[in-house]
Amino acid sequence: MQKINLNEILKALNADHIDENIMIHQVSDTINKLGNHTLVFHLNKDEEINQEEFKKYKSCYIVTDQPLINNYINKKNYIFVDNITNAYKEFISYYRNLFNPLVVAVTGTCGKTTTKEMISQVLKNKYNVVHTIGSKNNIRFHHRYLMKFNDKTEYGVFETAITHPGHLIHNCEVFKPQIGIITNIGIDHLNWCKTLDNYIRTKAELLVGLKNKGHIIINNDDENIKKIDFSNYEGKIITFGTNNKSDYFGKDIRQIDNNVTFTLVKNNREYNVEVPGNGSHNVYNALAALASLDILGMSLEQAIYYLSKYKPIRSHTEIKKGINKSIIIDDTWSSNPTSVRAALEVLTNIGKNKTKIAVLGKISYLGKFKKELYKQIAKDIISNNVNVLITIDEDAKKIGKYANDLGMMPTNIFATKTKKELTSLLKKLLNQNAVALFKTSMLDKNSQENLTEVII
Amino acid sequence: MLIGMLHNRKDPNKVSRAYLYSAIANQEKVGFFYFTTKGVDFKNKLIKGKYYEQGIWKDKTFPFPDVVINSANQKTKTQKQIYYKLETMIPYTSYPVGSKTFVYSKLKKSKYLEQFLIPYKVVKNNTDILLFLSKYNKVIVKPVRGHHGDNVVKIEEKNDYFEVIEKDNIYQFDLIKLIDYLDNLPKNKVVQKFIDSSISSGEPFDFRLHLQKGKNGEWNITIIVPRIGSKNRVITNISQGSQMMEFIKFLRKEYRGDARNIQKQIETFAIDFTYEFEKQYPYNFDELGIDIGFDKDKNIWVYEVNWRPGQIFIEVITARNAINYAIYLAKERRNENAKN
Repeated sequence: MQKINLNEILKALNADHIDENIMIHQVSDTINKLGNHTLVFHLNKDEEINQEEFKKYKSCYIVTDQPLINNYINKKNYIFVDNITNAYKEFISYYRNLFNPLVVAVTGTCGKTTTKEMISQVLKNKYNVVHTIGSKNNIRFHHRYLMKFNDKTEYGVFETAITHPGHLIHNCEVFKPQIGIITNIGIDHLNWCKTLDNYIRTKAELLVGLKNKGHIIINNDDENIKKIDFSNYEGKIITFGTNNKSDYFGKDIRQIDNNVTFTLVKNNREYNVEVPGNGSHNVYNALAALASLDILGMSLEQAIYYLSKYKPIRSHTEIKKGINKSIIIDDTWSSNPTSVRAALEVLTNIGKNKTKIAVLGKISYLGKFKKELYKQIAKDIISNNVNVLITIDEDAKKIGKYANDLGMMPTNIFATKTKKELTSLLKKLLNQNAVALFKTSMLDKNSQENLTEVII
Repeated sequence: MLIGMLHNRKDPNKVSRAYLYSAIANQEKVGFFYFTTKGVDFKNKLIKGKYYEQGIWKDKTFPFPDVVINSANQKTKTQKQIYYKLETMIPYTSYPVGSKTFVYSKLKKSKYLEQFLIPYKVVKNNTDILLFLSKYNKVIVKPVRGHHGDNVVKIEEKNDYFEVIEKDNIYQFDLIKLIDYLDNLPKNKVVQKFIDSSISSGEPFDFRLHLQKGKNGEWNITIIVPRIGSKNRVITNISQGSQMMEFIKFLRKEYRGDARNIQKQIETFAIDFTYEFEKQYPYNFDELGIDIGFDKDKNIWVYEVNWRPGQIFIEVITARNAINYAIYLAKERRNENAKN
């Protein structure tokens, strides 16, 4: 973080001035993380301050709304506020406003991580960028990312997690983005959002998060995004797509080895784009990334050059060599019905004239819609002509049952319970004419480990 | 048997091959004359031409020959009309391979030939060049219709800048300046992967493989010539201002113990490539000049295929092959006619 005089922070918190001249090098949002020249917000009130440790540090200050106990030491190092949560919010806002980077917030059901990675990797070629690491987009990581901001920060790129309504607005309060992206709205986290309308609404919170200003970049081919009412939005709406006419339009999509290539049309000008990755869903990710980079002021040609060197994040429809000369598609990062569909498409493309095997894990957060959505996945399995379906836990087993109801031969449906069972089954099925898709989520036990014995 | 040599220059003294052909035809005891389209009389099937005797070319009217060595392009419309009409009546020895892009499309049609193609693209916009650069690190950008390496640019991505080498200048650009530079290049250009075909001391080189058909109609290697260009010049065609060397000597100097293997690799390639290349066309060739690069990993890359390669200091052998092939063609045609 940027080093700040403690009194500057206290002023922002409306707290009392101290006489000493202390520089703060670190701000912590938990009492469990103390240190030298550190300002600690006592947000986790059910935790006790470790007095022994506290004693060791030089210039460690604790902001709290809690009364002190007689045996506390270093009492002069406590700063009292009326409400610690509000004080922390004040601080976050104060700290964010010290800097003026352009910030992009990426939301959507699928493609958040990839789109965010594309934008941040491209920017990092030339600029100082703070961004979400991997898919670590949970609210608890916000503090860590914000503290990375300093005088030199030119851009911020954040993936906004939404499991509950209200999350996105909160996220935007922290990072104050000027540009928002909605990659798509499929189905995920319905247990918290209860209904699809509710889920759409949580994504549309991005408009509020942008304070109805700035730029919002949306997928023009997405039916659910169209349900959002943009009439109050005063910023610029930028569209991307491959079907409907869009500001950033992708055509001539082709998969060449491990690269997706397409022609980008913007203002009647054409650009060739080539981006590492498998599956045409990456065209949407690339279009969203290029649109935002263009708005951020990087020329499209530059952005395209850097994007061609993009390093895909692991386990996102990643093609691997399997045992017995088979092919494995590793898509074990996260799972939801929309991304299952995209992964099945990749399986169909790569598995032309081969035995197509789908290994599916459970999908979390579907709430009461689970039955309906599992049935939809079963339909997608049939329509993609998947030859063998293997499910890897009790929950996903139901997908097999629905596939059977739709006419898939029971002899081609397997429900495994352990890694051992799965591995021995795959060892029999995998050969040079077989392609197996692993579609699970890192939330599953063994999501990655299931692969270890079938890849080379 | 009578061989006619069709050219566009009136005076055979100015066509050095004419004399050689005549002398060799004489040795082989077949008739030979030189003519232009002007001398052709379709009505009477006669040609006013010239034959060589006692040190001079003499005028004479000949019947239509058994075969025509068509060694030069015709220029005017009338010349062309006569040229093509005559072709329907008498076998010609030479057929064109087509433009560079046409040759490229032919090479692309065969899995075997394709592997020797240098990745290349007609540039529609800067992103074509940028994506090539991203993929191959070093690229050449040149006009679609280029001459002697004019306006050829080499671009290489270094650690934190791009090096651009023109004929006389070297620049160091960042990406923004590089894009500006590309914006200002003339239109109608191609981008290709840069092939690092250079000798140990750094100069670029290529091999000119010259192949001809002989008296049995089979392909033979006439000669393989290594051509060494000069350093610090961007060239894809070394023919300009190059230094030529003897093939074997060159291989021994550059590859020492590996010379024999490489000789075999290139000679095998020359024959295999030529047969496969000819298969892509509906007619036969008499002579091909194939320019290839040979990179550090000992990969062969085809720069260019010419159907009328320039002569390189062994005109007598070349001329003998040409006459032998012409005789072969004439005999073939005679046999065909006899069958019918």
